[in-house]
Amino acid sequence: MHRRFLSRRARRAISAVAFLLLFLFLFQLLSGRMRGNQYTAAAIGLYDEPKHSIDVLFMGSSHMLNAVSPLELWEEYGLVSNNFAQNSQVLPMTYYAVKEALRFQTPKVIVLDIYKIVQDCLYETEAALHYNLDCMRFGLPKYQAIFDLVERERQPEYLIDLITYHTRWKELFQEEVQEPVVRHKGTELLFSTYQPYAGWTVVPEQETIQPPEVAVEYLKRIVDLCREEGVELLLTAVPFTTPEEDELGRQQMVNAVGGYAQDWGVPFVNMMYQDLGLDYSQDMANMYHVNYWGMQKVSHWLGAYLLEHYDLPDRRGEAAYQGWNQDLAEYRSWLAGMVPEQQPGSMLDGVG
Amino acid sequence: MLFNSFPFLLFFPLVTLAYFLIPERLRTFWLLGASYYFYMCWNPKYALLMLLSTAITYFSGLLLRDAERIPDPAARQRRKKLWVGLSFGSNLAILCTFKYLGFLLDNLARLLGLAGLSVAAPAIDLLLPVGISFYTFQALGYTVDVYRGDTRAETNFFRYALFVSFFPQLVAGPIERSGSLLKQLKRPRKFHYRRARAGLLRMGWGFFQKLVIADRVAMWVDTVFHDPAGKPGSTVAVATVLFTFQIYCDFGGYSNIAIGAAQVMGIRLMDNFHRPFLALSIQDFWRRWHISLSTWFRDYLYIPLGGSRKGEARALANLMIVFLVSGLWHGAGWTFVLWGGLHGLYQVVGKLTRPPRQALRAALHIQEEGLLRKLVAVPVTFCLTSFAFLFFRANSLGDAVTLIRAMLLDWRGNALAGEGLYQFGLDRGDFTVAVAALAVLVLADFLNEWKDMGKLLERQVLPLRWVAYLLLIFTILIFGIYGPNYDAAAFIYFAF
Repeated sequence: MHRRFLSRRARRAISAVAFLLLFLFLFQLLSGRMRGNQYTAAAIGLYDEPKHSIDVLFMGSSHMLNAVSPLELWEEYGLVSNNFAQNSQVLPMTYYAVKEALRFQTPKVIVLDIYKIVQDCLYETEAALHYNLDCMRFGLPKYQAIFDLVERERQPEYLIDLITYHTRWKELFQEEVQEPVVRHKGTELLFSTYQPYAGWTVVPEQETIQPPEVAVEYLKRIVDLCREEGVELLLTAVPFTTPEEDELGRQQMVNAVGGYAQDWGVPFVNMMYQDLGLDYSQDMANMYHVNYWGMQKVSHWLGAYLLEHYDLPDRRGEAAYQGWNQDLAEYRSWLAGMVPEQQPGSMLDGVG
Repeated sequence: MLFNSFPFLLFFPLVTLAYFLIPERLRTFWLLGASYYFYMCWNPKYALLMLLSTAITYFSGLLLRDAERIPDPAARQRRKKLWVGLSFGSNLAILCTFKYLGFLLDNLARLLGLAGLSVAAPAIDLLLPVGISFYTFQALGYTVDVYRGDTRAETNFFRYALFVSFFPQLVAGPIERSGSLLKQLKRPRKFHYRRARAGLLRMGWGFFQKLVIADRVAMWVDTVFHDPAGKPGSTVAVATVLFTFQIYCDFGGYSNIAIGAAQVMGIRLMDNFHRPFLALSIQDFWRRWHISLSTWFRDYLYIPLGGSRKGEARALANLMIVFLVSGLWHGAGWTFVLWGGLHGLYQVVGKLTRPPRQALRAALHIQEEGLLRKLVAVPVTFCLTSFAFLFFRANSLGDAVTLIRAMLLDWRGNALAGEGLYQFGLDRGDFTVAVAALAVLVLADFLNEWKDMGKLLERQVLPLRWVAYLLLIFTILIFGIYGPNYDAAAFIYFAF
């Protein structure tokens, strides 16, 4: 009798496994399509860079995201950097973002904005957590973050983000299409102008308030992680203004980081007290974030500070980085369409 | 643990895989443990209640077996009746305490109120144990089966406990018979590739019914039924028809998942929904709707009441009793009783008008099995069942009256015109998907009436089968109602 090359059982096993693989492939494809990138553009800049090609990484929350443009630093100083900060990223999440970044890059310096020391939580909102986690690639840091930060019953939607995004098919039925967020080397720029209330001041640097324990704990973990990985860590705070009744004591809490930094032996430079040439009535996009014009001042000052304190190369002449000039040209032409000829007048009460 | 929850997507494959890998002698224990775990995910305490019912019916089975040895027939019968009575009495007492006590006291207080005595009904705060109506009926069915000698008393307590608690059908049926399920649990099940594949397909279809249709149309239904005041009659009619499909897809879908899951493990459960909305009469509807319950009532209530053996008047009375009890079984409320009563009434009227209807058909030369009759009978039956479901879904009798009044006196058809259609819980996208999915459901039911589509698919070449499977899975994944209520705006404009 003619015998088949494979037994029926083996053929069935192969077909079941093949089906499963096909399903998983299509599932991945679908997840990517449904996730889209207008919500999760943040990390794409970093993943797009060649591995281990970045010298400086800027990290933290939106304060940093809006404040430093790597392409400005490239043009002015030849610095190779990336802005891997993220909107609404609290320090517990930043800890895992640093871990994630170090899978792909070996920067000489990580510059971390510590404004979120004021937040007493593992995440701010569900949306913020999705925003921060869903853009991370498949890997240990992402899963450690999910198991550490998310309540158990909500973990599935973070492990398999199609659970969250599958309803986006509805957007086919919607007339309004969301404009995708444009990022250049990670940064996100704001072009509005906001004026803080009349009596606003910067409090004295020695005024402090004890920050929440959870934020301090994760900041310490970031410090330890960078030390283990042999990466220099520079803690900083991009200038921000505060509301009239600041129940959190934001400036004072940020100031308190100075004491911790000293104890832990890491540098902390609080830009609130540096001469950046910042004009709070012109350079803020809203209460907490610098705008495009403020970004130029922060980038200029921070670039000079980095060159002075760290041994960072000027890579403008290096063949491997010639693509950066093209990125710069694209950035400039994009900016030409974005920056108004005259800076818009400041809004007294508008918060963007 | 619900079938449409993420833990179940882990639980089911793990339990099944281990079931086939462990030695046969351990399988009963494994499934029993898994079933109790499944049940205790809701409320661990209520597992004790299930265990109590299990123990009562298990021992009543043994006692009934022992009673068989009594030589005197009269004494034997007395003893057997005693054990059956105790088994029913205690189980129904548990069921009544947890399901009907609040309802009973509430009505008693109202009755006393009518008599001029103002009594506040004590607040009964007992959470209805999940699936109690289902497993209690299954266990009681066993008692009767042993009493009648249809089934031998099970001596292995663990196997019997598994019969009562078998997780696929534990919380929402099908209500199984000892003659079928208990017998199957005795024989070790072997993994069977084609059977497992067919089971998975059936589960997939169940998930489609539940997640894509039932949970979607529920949004429209809830909008109308939660707050009936002032709703246009036209929207009430749509909500009632949609609820008819919702409950079919919800319950039928759940049954399909249960039957499919058991099938993967090599256990055959009875069919529970057989294209009910293609029924030609209410009687036919009940041969197709919740079959495991209607046959339970037939075998364990209608027939013991005398069935149709004691004259026509008694048969009609028995029918009414069965349907009133069936209504009450579905829920402790007058709306359910009315729903059951309406179905009883439909059938009584149907039986009484049969001769003139038959005469009319004969006069018009309409064939019993002909297309013309189907074209009339199917929609009429659908409308009757749909109207009855209005009572089933209404939150109170008062609401039901409001809704019916709206349909009769306040139609306002223009409420459904243009964008108005999308103001009742389903936006344009969801509404479009709901209509498309309902069309698929109706088409599938029609085709299945003609030929078993699942079996037909099994015979196709591999690429065609795979396309069908993947289409089904991805339709559920994309269009299913699950996960957080994702709001794109929250992502775009969240506070920094």
